[in-house]
Amino acid sequence: MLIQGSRKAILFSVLSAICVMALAQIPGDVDGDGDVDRADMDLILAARNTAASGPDDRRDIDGDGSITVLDARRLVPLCTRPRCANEPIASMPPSLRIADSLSGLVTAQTTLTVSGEFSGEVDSVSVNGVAAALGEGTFSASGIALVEGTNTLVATARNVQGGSASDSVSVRRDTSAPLVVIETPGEGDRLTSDRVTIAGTVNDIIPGATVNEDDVIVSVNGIAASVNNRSFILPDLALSPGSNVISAVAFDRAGNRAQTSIRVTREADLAGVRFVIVGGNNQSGPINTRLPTALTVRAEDSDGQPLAGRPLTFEVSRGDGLLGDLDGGRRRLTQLTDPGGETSIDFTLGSRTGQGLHRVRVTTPGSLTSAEFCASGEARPPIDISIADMPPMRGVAGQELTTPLSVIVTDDGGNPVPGVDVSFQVQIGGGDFGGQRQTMATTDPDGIARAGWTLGPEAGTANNEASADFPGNPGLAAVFTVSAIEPGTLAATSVSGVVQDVKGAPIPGLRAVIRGAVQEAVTGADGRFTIFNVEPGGHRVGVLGSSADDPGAGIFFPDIDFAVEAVSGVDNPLDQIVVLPFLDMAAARLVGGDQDVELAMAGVPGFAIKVFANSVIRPDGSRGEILMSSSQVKFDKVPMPPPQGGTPIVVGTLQPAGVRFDPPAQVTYPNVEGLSPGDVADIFAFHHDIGQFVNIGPGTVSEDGSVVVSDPGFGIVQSGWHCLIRLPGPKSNCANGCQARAEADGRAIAQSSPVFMGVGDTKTVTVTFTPAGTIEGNWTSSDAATLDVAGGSSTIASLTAKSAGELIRIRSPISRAKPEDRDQADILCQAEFEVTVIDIDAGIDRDGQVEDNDEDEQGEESVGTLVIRDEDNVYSDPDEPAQRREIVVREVRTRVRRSSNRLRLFNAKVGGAELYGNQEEIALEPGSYWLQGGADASGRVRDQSLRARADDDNAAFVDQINVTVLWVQISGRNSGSIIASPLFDGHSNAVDNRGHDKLGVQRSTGTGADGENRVRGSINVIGEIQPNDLSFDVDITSGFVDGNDSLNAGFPARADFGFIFRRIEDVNIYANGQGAVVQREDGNDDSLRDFQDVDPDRDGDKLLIVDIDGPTATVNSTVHFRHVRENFVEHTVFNFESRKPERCSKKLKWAFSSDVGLGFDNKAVFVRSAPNDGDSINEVKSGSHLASLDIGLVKAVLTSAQTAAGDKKLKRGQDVVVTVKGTNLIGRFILKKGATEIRAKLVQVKETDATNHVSDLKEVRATFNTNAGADSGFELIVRNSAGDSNAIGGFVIEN
Amino acid sequence: MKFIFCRIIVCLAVLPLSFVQALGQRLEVVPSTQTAPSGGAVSVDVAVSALGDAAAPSLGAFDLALCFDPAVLSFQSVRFGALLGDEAASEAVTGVFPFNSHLDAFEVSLLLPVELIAIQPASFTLFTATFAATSAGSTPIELVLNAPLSDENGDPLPAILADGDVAVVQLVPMLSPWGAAILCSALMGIAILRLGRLAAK
Repeated sequence: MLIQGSRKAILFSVLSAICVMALAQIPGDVDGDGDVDRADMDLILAARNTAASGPDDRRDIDGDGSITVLDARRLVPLCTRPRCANEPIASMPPSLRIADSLSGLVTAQTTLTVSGEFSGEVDSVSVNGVAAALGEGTFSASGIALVEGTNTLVATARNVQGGSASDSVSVRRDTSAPLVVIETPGEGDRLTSDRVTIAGTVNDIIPGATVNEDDVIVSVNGIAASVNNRSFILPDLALSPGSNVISAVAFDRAGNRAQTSIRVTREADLAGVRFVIVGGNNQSGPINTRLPTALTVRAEDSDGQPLAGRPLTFEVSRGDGLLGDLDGGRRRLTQLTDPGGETSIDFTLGSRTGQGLHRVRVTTPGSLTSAEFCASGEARPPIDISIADMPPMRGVAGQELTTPLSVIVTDDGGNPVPGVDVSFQVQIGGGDFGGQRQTMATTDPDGIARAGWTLGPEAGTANNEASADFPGNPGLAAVFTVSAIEPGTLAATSVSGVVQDVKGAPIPGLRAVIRGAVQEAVTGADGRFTIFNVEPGGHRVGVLGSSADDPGAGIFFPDIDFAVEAVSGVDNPLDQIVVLPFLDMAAARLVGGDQDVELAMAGVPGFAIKVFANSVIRPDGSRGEILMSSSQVKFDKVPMPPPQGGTPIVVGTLQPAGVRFDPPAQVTYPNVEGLSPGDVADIFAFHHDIGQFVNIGPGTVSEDGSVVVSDPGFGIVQSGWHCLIRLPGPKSNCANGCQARAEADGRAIAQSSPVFMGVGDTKTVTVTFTPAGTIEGNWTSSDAATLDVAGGSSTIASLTAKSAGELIRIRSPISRAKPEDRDQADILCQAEFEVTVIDIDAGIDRDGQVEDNDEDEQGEESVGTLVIRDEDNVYSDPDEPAQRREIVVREVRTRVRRSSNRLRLFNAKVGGAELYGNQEEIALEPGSYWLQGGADASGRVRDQSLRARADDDNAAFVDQINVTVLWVQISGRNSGSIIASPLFDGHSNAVDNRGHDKLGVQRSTGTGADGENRVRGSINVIGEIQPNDLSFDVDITSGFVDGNDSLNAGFPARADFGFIFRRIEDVNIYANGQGAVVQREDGNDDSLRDFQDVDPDRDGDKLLIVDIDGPTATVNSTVHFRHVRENFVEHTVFNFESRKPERCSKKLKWAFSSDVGLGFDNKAVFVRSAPNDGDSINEVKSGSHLASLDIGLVKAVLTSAQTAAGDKKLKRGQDVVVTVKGTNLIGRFILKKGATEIRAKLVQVKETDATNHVSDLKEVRATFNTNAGADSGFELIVRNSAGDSNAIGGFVIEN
Repeated sequence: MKFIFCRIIVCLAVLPLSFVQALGQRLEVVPSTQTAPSGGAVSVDVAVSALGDAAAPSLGAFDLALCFDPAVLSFQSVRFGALLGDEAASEAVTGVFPFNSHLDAFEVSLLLPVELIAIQPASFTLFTATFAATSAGSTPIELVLNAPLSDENGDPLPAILADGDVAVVQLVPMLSPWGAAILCSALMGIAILRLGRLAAK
């Protein structure tokens, strides 16, 4: 009876719901399309004079049971448009255009008036949300706020009929003055000549490849200088006798001004040897070529008489040029003067373009002065084309992308080449460039060519492709792939992203904000965020890593901003996963005080940032001290596109954000690129205001070649991401047309990608020079500790990989060949390539060797997969009914697979139906599986879908299948892309031949040992199915260029996809009364064992035990839990990171704190490695956070250097270091005077067992902001959560 | 036979409306009677009256049948008026469905009630139907409401229906003197024969 009653209630509810749904229909909306229009009218009239089908017949509007013209008439007032029109009343659609003068404007203003013209029926115009005043076909909106950097101004016209049109322009606000430095002559130089050449460096923090005359104007003593590639020159400036002030003034396009001055003295009667430049000064020529005129100088005595037989030393003082005609490679050379006192020397320019950038200084013993020759390098013919600025990965179908396609053309020195005709061509999708499938654009002074691309009319994923190329390009074209979307309603506009740490673990609880707006979101347990109700247009999205800091656990993240173009009515995901590094706060130091402070970066020997005394401008605009640290970022984890197609070599992040440096902080990078001594590299920093990497100035390779140091006056001007960049262009050491072909184990080494080796691997490398010549020198390795090279002076060497390391630079000996024309310089050639040594855990069979029988498992990291489930209350109180709760542990891992065109598909479909390859269908058992999809023998992967299904007897118990995409790997020389939907959640990923990250896949790791280029990416997306519904499809569509063309013979394109399919069984199948079930993919059912004690301390808390290997297995690898700091509803995410056995032994390190979800609220978690072995258990007691742990008595000792002089004297606002001894110290720091509590902010917690050899000793830094002013009698109290405390008294606060 | 069927429909349709006819609007065929020569064209208007003059009630829609004797008339076309809205300006929806013995015509105004009231006088022509007079004879032009008249809000309006009549005559040709003599002789002959038969009876 009760059941019947319940059924009636349910039936009533259902009917009510149906009625409500019916009532919820729009009255008159007969066809249910959401509006009332002529189509609805026609449906009524078509049924005219018939009986209604029933009371719910929508055509019977008057409800009289028949359908008549009365119903039609009653529809009229209900119509959603006048006259019941199907379409808006025809009127002139609005259109508008922002004034051309604003396009590309650079200004220092804080606000701007935006004007333009409109036509058609327009009722209102707004610009970035600000209402504009309307005139006769014109509009004007004033007070449009500009932020520093790039601003997208969007003007939108609307009419009452719902019509709208918009136009946008990009305006850059630049309030930063350029930097200008006179490098020659030097400050205080004593000169004898009446004229001198002025050369130096100029830079401006702007987007673009370089700084030229169209960016900055430089004048020297009022005379315009030539500017090119961040350098300037003014030849033969006249000097007056005596003291001369030489001033260089630079103006940028926004009118910002910078000036620098030096003082030199012209002393006609200067005693000692003097130099007269006879010829060869101020020449120009293509880079890496010998100047046509030798550098000639005459030595004279103070009376003007030539000095014969005088030794003059020529030294390359700037650039990586070389001296001598037959003895190339010399950077310093001494010659005797002839009877006329003269001597000459040939000079070969270095590899960088620039005005006066290549210099040779002449000196001689006994001279009070010197002479310096200046030469300018010009670009050589182009050899490379790359994407300059990554376009949006999505655009509106049929509309022009908001950002034009841009490519950069470079020469063999990586220099931008202006004046190159670039052809942009639509390849796929039917789009156009101004109505044409093909268009031409010429590279500008930055070497960049742009073209506005209108996408094709069809919406789709990666369905538009365009290429850019130039005639005679020896390499590959640049390829753009964009998805076309149909915009929806404004209200549906959102911005989303995924935030992970460098280990690939999601970062939950992190705020993502729209700068300048109120919209924001918080990342969930899977690291995802979605910001809803975003205004369409350009935005800066701030990913506030600091909001996820956990000082208690010593985990800190940086903030970062991204530029996002939000398309109306759709979700706009960030182009790639935001990977935030862990900030190395342990290395933090106070900077900005009275002393220069050098910051190191852990893991990067040779790296340093020197912050000059009193140079720090804090985020609030004040000058003073601040605690800063520099942390390494793996170059393949940089969360933003590298600039201009370049490859960042060393990447770091200087935090906290928002700190500026004046003068710039000097930065020193290790020369891992192996650039030549004197060579000039570019240093980039991610400019948070501009939203992209910008060049912050040059750096010069030290004479010993070990480091690259930012040039004086240049360096880091703003905290944030920074890196050393090699611009595109091969690392050619082979000038003069020679060729060097390198092979590893008989297989050619691609220039642009590294060779992969496993630890312990050996490879034989050979090099063949054309033309062949005499071999000189030895093989060298940039990191012999990682990769040893043995090979004497021959062309064959043996590589031995010792430890894991990336991009180890290998150089062959030099080949010296005599040209046929004996008047020409020798042809010098050298092979150069890179090797990445990976930790392959000595092969899958762990026999210490990487062997053929390891097959495609080479490089695979060990796998730890855990499935954890809990039955609540079962153990602690068996009388209570079990409440099923479940935890799904998902795993995100990367694997390196190096299969050689192998194919193993799991029930894969190609083209929707056709199966090919080695089809393999696996019935899912509880556990985890590696599944691999791949290409067919032709190297094509198209329209592939993976299908998983469970058909075993236990299917009825399966209630969930989780699919984790582990990695995506693309290989092959040609461009390719992987697009997957919906599993990949709309991410489209495309890579070019260098593996540059276009759309989200992580960057290439270079060339494999088999000569393949590859790209690895991890896209962490979870796909789920409904309970007991075990069939689902994962569609993966990838477009690959056929790998079988002539360029790719032997290098077939390939795509591999890795997944974990994991089935979670119903909890009922376990009836052992235990509170936890642990499984490992070895198939052992750990739940059947009886050792699992879920509540060892019998405190009633629900416990979870994770057994990683079972009672008998040997721990070959352990796992590392990275804790999740936020509550979650049903799932949690752990990261398992493989650790070497020697590091972790058999102990399972744990770092876990948090709720673990439904059923575990405020409960404890146990983790132990081998429960049966009696290992100690790390227990986290009741509470949701480590902070709630009981801690022991704390003892505090003041150790701050700042307080040493005054013995417990503290300065206001300064940091003071306090060493606190305790266990699991988490507590408060209180500064008190009497009963008055002063603010004392904890800023850092750091372990310092290195000095005290006490494992539980902690170093704690606290910042005191005493408002009480100078006084004494303060007391510092350290207190833990249990109330234990310790005090240090007797402080004196000084101003 | 079909004409008879149409008249039955008329009776059935009009019957339930009879109780309101006394107060209703008048729907009539104009002119009510007319004569047309065989082979010529016949046009009839269907007009409404007793509406409000730029005031409610106004006519928002109608759907009616016009019945006729197909032996006398043959439908050719309908031209709707503009006082329910200009169809060319998408202000009204019209429809004509000709059958052998009747045609259906409807119009629904797409104007809003206030617009409709503003443009409609108290009386006006709904549409003009044109027929071809196919042979001599007479036929009523009967109005049948497929649905009640609709006011501006879609509510029914009572209606008084007034049919019309059309007579089609065979025009007498003009005779020549010889023809007239032959015709008179023939008529006289026939008369004599009929008189002879009567006398024989």
